[in-house]
Amino acid sequence: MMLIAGVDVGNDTTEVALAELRPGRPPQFLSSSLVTTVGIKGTVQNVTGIIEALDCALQRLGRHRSELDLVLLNEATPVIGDIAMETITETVITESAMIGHNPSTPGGCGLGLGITVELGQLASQPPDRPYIVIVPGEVDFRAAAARINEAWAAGKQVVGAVIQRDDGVLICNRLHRPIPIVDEVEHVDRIPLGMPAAVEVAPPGRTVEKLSNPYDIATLFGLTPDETRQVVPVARALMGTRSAVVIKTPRGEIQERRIPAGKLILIGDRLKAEVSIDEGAEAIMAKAAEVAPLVEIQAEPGTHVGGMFERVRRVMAELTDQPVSAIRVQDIMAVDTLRPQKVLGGLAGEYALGNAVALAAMVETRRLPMQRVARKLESEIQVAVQVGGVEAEAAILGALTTPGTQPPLAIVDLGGGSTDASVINERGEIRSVHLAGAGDMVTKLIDSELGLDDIDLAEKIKRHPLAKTESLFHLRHEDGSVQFFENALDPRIFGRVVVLSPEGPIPIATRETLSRIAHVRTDAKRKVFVSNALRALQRVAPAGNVRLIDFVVLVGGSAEDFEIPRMISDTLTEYGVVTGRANVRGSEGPRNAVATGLVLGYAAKEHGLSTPWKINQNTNP
Amino acid sequence: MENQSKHKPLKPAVWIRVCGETVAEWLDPILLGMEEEGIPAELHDGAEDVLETAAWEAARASPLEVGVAVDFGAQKAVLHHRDLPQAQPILKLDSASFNGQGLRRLGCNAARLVKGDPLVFSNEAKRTGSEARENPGVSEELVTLVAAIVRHLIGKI
Repeated sequence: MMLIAGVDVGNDTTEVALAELRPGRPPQFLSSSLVTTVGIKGTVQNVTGIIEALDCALQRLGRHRSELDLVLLNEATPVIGDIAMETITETVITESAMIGHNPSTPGGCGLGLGITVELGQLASQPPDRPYIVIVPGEVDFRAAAARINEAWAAGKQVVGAVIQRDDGVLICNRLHRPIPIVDEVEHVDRIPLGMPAAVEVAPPGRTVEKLSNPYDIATLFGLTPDETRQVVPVARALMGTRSAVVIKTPRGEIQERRIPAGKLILIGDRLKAEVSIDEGAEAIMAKAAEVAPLVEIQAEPGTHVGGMFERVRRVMAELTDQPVSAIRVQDIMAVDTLRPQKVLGGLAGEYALGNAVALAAMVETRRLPMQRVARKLESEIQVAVQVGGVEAEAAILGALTTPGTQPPLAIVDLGGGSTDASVINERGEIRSVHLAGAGDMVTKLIDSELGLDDIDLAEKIKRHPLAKTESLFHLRHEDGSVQFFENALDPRIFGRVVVLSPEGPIPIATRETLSRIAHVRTDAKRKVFVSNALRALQRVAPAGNVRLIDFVVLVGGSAEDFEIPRMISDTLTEYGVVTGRANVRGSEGPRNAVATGLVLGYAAKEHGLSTPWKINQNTNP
Repeated sequence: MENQSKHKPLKPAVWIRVCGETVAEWLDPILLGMEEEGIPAELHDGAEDVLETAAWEAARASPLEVGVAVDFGAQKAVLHHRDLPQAQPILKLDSASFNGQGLRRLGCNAARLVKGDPLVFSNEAKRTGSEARENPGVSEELVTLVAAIVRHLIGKI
């Protein structure tokens, strides 16, 4: 009788399957464990994590390391992935032509059209025209209200105000005649004076109607058709805001400018092509498909993407004792995304969503030096360690322990750094592929689109559902259901959208609604995993036809996600494929496939146990 | 029936209990904070007892279920809600924050508590947009400008 452990070192997790092996009998699995991988996969630091995982699995049985007879280590897939983002547009307001930051408590209501004048200069102005008064932060709101009232008494029409402080409501409440007031404008000092301007504030719950319509702006300022065309982006930028200011400067406007973001050089078997990153993800992926099969991808140095390519190649070079020049980026995945950026030339710290391209790149090599890891492990635990089993083969053997499965079968591994697919046919032949773009990319997209600048929070938003705190004692979940609490909720989450992490609800510091955050989350998963699952299956399916696959099981960390398996399943149903989350050994869910498969493979080889199919070594694409 | 006709309905307002002497310079910011957020406030006298109790009783009396108690002499203030345990108010203002800004924020939060809006804390700006964390002391515009200059120079090399 042997006590053996199968160990799978992955990018993010290290998993162990512990089993008893008696001659002539199938292995009896006793326990499993899962820990975070220590160090980069393939380096001797992994040993720390492996030992932790082994001890954990052994502890569950009350047994000790010395009782282990053999440890089987996977020949880890030699794949390293990384992600970078390039912003390809920026928003610029020229000549301070508009203000659209949408403060929460503007004053008054209605539309005012007049000439901009500083409050201090109001008294000396002629009474023959209406005025929009600019109030800097040094002026007390009571004094401001008094001076505006004085001006009215002197026959001067003050029809609107733009103020620096958050005093819009306070001033308006003290005026003899209410006027629309836009407040919280940080840079009032940059507002051009002596210019025609319009200030509009909508009633609560509504949005501006005139300043979001180019023809109304044309009416207010007497614009020519050409000038009206120029003002269209301004009108569009003000749609959906409750308050707005437009100033008619000679050539002022709001522009979305393209930012040059460098090129990618796509080198295929026979063709070569170049594509600019600022053409967007669709163009990049289309060009890559034209040039396929890809041999290498190069990026321009000095760009974010170029820097990332360098990084990922360097890590692999160090890992495999090769020169960097020998390492090539072999797969990329580009996804269009948005990124909130400060508007250049904005007067009130406005943010606008800029376009960005997120790029995941992957390098692959023949083998990782797992022998080094094995030797170190052996010396540390004093148990024989064997490196063996091509990972794809072990993964399939493990996945096939899912009740209800049989070859031909495909597995899709939804990992952190790469999305992998392997397929086994009736003859036991296996094909596998690794693609760039996986869990880490989803997190990065969520972080970017919500402007969080907090990868940990983005990761939590990816994994857990949302809720909104509606009162001190209850929150409303995404699905509309309400959860009540005996003890009052933390004031820091009051009124906020929160993510329901295992450690408790965490507030998300954003003005976005719950449904928008949920949409960003779901969209990021779809953009990465649904397209990559399909892309990967197309590469390993017989004749590239996904319809010829009957069963797909999903494994890996992201297969445990509460949304992803359903989304992939919805897409694959159209191809007539049965998709589901694996249930390794009927108990482990989508985890532990490789670790289990290592044990099964060993048992089959050593003890001549038959498996319902014969596994043939290595038929890779 | 007669009782009902004599009974005047209470005006919907947050109750602010002033325990001790009123200091207008400090009472004003609280009232302004509430006014800017659009929620009415009503002033009442309070005895100088435990501030949490005074605030809690104010919250229970207020038709909007929110109460504030402030002791200008001791430089303390408490924000409470009728459903909370008496000894656990939602916010307490200590003497370090007992200034124009802190008191305005207190009024603002009292109103937001009524409205169900997120509260404002001293280390955040009132307007929370999708804002990136800012480098203290380095403006975003400066960073953009430097980046543009560096890119330009690299192009020249």
